[in-house]
Amino acid sequence: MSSTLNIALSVSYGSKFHLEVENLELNPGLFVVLGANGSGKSTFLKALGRFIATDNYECHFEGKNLKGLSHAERSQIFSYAGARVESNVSVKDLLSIYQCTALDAQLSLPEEWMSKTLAELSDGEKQKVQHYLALQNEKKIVLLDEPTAHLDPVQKAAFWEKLQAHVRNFDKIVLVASHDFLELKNSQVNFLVIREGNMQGPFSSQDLPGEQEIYSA
Amino acid sequence: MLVLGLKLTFGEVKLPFTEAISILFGAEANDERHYLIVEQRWLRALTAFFAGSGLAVCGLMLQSFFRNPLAGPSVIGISSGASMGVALFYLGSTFFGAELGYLGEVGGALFGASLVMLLLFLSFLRRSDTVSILLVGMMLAFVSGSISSILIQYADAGSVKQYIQWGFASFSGVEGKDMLLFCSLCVLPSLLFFGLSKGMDQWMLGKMQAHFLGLNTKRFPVFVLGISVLLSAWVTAWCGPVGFIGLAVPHIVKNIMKTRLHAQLIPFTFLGGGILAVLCDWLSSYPTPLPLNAISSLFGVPVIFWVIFKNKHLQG
Repeated sequence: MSSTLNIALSVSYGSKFHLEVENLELNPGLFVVLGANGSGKSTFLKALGRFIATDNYECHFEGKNLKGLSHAERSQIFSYAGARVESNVSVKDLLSIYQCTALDAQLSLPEEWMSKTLAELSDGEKQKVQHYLALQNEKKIVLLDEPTAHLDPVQKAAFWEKLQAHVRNFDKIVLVASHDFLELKNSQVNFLVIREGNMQGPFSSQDLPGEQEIYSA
Repeated sequence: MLVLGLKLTFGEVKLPFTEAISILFGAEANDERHYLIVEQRWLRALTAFFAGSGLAVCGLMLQSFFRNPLAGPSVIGISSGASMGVALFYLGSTFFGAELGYLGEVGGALFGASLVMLLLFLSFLRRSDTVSILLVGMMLAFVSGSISSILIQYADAGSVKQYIQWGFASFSGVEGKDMLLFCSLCVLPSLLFFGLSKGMDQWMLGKMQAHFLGLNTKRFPVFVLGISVLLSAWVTAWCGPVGFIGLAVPHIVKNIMKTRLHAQLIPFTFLGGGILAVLCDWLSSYPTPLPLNAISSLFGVPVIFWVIFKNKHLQG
């Protein structure tokens, strides 16, 4: 069965915000969603995962219409990390709630974190836990919202490298909302760009528009 | 079981532990002793156990639901709402002279508790932070309190006395013939809550996480709040507004168990709530009779202080 994800959706908040995604066809791979602040990167991920209401939603994956799925069925396809999980839940409990399987040996967490709660970890450490929760499972579509916001440059580079390897090895469609334009300019990832309410792309790093063009409001 | 047994043994009239147990299981005894053990101590201990376990499980679920460590039926106004409903019932019985028995109290408590819960949930949809929910709950408690005292001004002296007595909270109100019904309606909602364990694990992480983990985030609050109202109103109608057990027990259990998974927490919270309630009841009846809420506050308030000073951020 083809693992193609077809997306057509639109979201609007009153008259101020509108996002239109027309006939986007994605095959397994890593897609970085770029755009100015407020352009709708996070909104796009949330709309795709049906967390927020859409004006129009016609998305298909592996021959299934994503609109008609139950909550349980949808959760078997989508994985998400982004919003802060600020709580007194231990890492061990989280792994059990997310039903993580040790899929990718490259992504691992130090054993001593297990008994700690998220509140006891630093922001960067929390983010690593989130990456683990989002990726250590068999779900085929992964949505990551600003996964590198709390990482230093070395950690960022390591993250992107591991993520690319993960996508290659496990045939997933990974959509990442990110501002890491400069870090990724010369890498082999695909880009989607949201400009003036429209989704453009996918672009390879060679034909990606320039910085000024992407971020001009 | 041990606590229940001890409860039978100690009291103004001391009986050997084994004798107390054997009388309970039908051994021959003079009428006075039989009455003391079965009618008084045993029924009261059973009431305390199941009321306490129900309140504690309810408190645990409310804390996780509102992601707020200080949520509990008595703190966020649900018990006060139930009191208001009961006051309404007493006022009604003054005017209509109707003898509804416990159904009136249960109906009144359910009505008042649902009203407060609905308002609380509406405000949660707008502002979900810890402080807002607590403040809204406390304000609702104040309002229900003042409405209750206004209502009761218009009731006759007999009803007022009944209402005030009820307001002191006690585990002695359930008679033998109602015991099975009382216990079942404490256990059933707790079992339903146990069925929602997995959903609550997901919900406490945040709405977005819960959505992507497969929880129906629109339906889930209705189930949780509905069951909470039923359980807390039921217990409150029979026993009065019992304070702090629903708040304190979940924290003690969470801290001992070192987990937040509800499938593990709920059974122990149920057990812990029952034990603490029986202990409180025992302390409040022996050596001298004291108000139950005075004792449960002495247990509960230190736990609240401990929660406040232990956590950097207040989170359920």
